[in-house]
Amino acid sequence: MSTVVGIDLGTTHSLVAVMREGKPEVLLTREGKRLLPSVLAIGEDDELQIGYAARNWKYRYAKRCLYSVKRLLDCGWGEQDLGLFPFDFVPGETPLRMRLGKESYSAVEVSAFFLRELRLSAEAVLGEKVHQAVITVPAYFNDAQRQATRMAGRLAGWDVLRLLNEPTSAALAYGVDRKKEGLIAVYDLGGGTFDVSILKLREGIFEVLATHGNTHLGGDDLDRVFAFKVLEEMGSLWNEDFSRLLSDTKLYAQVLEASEAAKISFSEQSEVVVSIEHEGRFYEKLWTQEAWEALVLPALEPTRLSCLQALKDANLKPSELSEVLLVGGPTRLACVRRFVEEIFERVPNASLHPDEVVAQGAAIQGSILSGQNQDFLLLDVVPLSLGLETYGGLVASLIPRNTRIPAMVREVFTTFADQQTGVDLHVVQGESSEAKSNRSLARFELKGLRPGPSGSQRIEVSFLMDADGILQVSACDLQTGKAESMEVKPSFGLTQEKIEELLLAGLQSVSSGK
Amino acid sequence: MFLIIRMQNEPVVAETVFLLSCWECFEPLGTSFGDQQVCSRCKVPQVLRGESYFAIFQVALRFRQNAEVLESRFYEASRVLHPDRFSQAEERVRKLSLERMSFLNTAYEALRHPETLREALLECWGLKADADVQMQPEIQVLAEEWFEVQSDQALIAPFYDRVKQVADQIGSEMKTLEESYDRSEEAENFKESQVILKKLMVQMQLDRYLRALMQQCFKKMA
Repeated sequence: MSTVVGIDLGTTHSLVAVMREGKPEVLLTREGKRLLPSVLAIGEDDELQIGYAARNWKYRYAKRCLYSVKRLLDCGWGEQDLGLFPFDFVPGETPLRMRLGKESYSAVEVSAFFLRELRLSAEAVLGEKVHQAVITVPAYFNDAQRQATRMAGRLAGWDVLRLLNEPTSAALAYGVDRKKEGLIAVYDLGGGTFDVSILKLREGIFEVLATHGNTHLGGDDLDRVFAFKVLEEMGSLWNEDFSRLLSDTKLYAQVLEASEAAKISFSEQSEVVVSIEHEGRFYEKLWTQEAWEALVLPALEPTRLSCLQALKDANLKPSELSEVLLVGGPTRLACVRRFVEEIFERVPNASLHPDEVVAQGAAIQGSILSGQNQDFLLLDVVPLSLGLETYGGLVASLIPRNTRIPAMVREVFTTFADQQTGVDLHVVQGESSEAKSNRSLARFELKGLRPGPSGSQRIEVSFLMDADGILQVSACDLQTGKAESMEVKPSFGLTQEKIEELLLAGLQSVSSGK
Repeated sequence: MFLIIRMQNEPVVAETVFLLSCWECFEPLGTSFGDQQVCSRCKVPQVLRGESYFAIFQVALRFRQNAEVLESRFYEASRVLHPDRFSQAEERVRKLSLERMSFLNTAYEALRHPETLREALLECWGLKADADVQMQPEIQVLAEEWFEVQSDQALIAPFYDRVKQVADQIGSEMKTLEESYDRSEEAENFKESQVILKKLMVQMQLDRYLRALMQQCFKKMA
C-alpha cells in the first residue's frame, strides 16, 4: 500500500501532511519549517529561491519575486486587472508569463516549483519516494483552474489522485479529530480565495450539501483596499496623480507591505501609525482600528452573499447549523470573526489551526484513497453548473451546481434547422443562462446526421463526471448510432499540442532550477 | 396491557427486487443493503440491470417515502460503493462503481423531492406526464383574464393571489390523489392505481401551467 500525502497549495503558503498512526501529521519542509511560503524569488547570484528564503525578497525587491500566483492560474493576457500585481508580465502571452531575472514563468510553473519542493521535503522526512498526492483547491475553482493545478502537480512529479475542495478538507480534519456529527458550515477565507461549504456529518460520512465562493477574493484584498486608500492620500498630500503612484511598482509594493503589517498589528492593538518614505517624501498617519475596519470590511461583503446562497441551496436556516468553522489565515482577524458571527447568527468555532487544517484533511482523504482508511467517506458535489450551449446562445444546464458526484446525466436534443447534417456541441461552466457569460470548457462536433426536417433528429448528449471532477462528454445520434465523445481537457484557448509543448518546456525549467 | 401503537404516516417498505447472486462470482449476495451493492466476497460492484429509482433503493413504488430510510440506505451503499473505495482497483471495477454510484446519486436526489418523485413514479407505470390535457373551465377563465390584467400594474397583485389560491387548491387535490394511490398500491389494486395516476397527471399539468403563470406575474410585479 503506497503512501498518499495531502498537500495544501495555498496563495500565501503551502504545506504537506501525511497520515501516521491514524492521525494527520504535518511534514517539515527542507527549511525545517511547517509552512512553505508560496514565494519564488531570484537571489543576488541569479539563483532561484523558494519558501522563507524567497519571502525575504517580497516587497523589498518587487521584481525579484513572484507570489500569490494562485490567483493567476487561469488567467490569460488581459483577463485580470494585472495592475494589482507588482510583477513584470510578458505582454500578450496566454497563459500569463511573469519575468523573474532572465527567465519567465507561468503561474502553473511557479506552482510546480512549490509542489516539487514539498515532494522533496516529504521524501526527506519519510525516507522513501512518494509520488501520490491529494492536492487541495478552493471549492469554487473552475475547471481551468483545477486543470492548471493538476498540470502543476504533474510538472512537479506528482501523480495527483484527487483535487480536494479546501473547505471540505477542513471539515474532514475537524470531524475526524473531534468525532462530531451534525450540520456544519465552513467559512474559508484564504489569502486570495473565499469558499463556504455546508456539510452533514454522520457516522463517518461527510456529505457536502452546498458550496459557494469567489476565487478572486481573499485576505489580500483587505491589504489592497487599504493600500489604495493610502496611495490616494499620498496623492493629495504630494499633489500627485493616483494612477501614477499606483503604476510605480516599487512604491505599490512598499505600501502593500505597510498595509499587511498594519493588518497584523490591528489584531493586537487598536491604533497603528503607518509611515512610508518614498523618494524623500513622507506619509505618516495614525490609523484607528475603527477607521481601518470601516474601510476594509466592505471588501468582505460578497462573502455574505455567498454564505446566504449556500444556506439557501442546502435548504437550511442558520439556526439549524450545529457549528460554524473558520479556516484560513485572515479569519484570525477579530473583525472577520464578528462579520461571520453576524452572517450565521452564532459565534464561530476558531479552535482549528487555520493554516494546517486543510492539509490535514487532504492527508485523511489520501489515506481513504490508498485504501488504508475505511472508516470515513466524503461525498462531494459539483461547485459550478455544467451545461450545453443551445440555439440563441442559451445554456441548457445538464449538471446543476451542488449535484452529487459522480454524476451521469443524459438528455436528448434535436436540430434547429431543416436538412442539418451536423451539430456543434459547446460545453460551458457557470451559473449564467447565457453561454457567453460562462466559461467555455470544450467544443466538438457531431457530423453525419441523416438530413431531415428540423426537430426530427434525436441527439443524446451525456455528461459523466467522475468522483475526481473530470468531465466526459459524449453525443450520440440515436437514428444512425453515430457517436462522438471527449474528455474535457485544459485549453486556455490553446491546442493540445501547444499544451504538451508548454508542459515539456515547463518540466525542463522546473527541474533545472535548484 | 400493550404499550405499543402503530406509527402513523410511516410508509411500509415493501419487498422489491433483491439480487440473489453476484453477477461476477455467482456466489449468493448478502441481504443487507450494502451487500446488495458490492459483493462482499469478490468485492465487485453489481452491474445495473435497468432498475428504477425505487427498485435500486428497494422501496415501494409510492409517493410517501421515509426520508430516514432513504438516507440511511444511501449512506450504507455509499460506504461500500463509492469510487473512492476503488481508487486502487482495476479499471473495469472502477467503472462499475462509477456507474452504479452515479445512478444511486441520481435516484437519491429524485426520490427526495416531490416533483421529481412524481415524474419517476409515473415513468415506472409507463405514463408520460406531457400528454395532452383539457383545460378546466376555471383555469380557462384565469388564462383569458391574464391578457387583460397584464396591461394594468395595479391588477396584477390581486390576480396573482387568485392564481395562487387555485394552485394551492390543486396542490391539496394532488396530495389527496397521492394518498389514495399509495393505499390502492399497497392493496395491490393495480387497475385503480392506474386510474388515480391518470387523474393526477391532469392535476400536474394544471399545476405546471399555474406555476408558470405565477412566475410571469412575479416578473411583472418586480
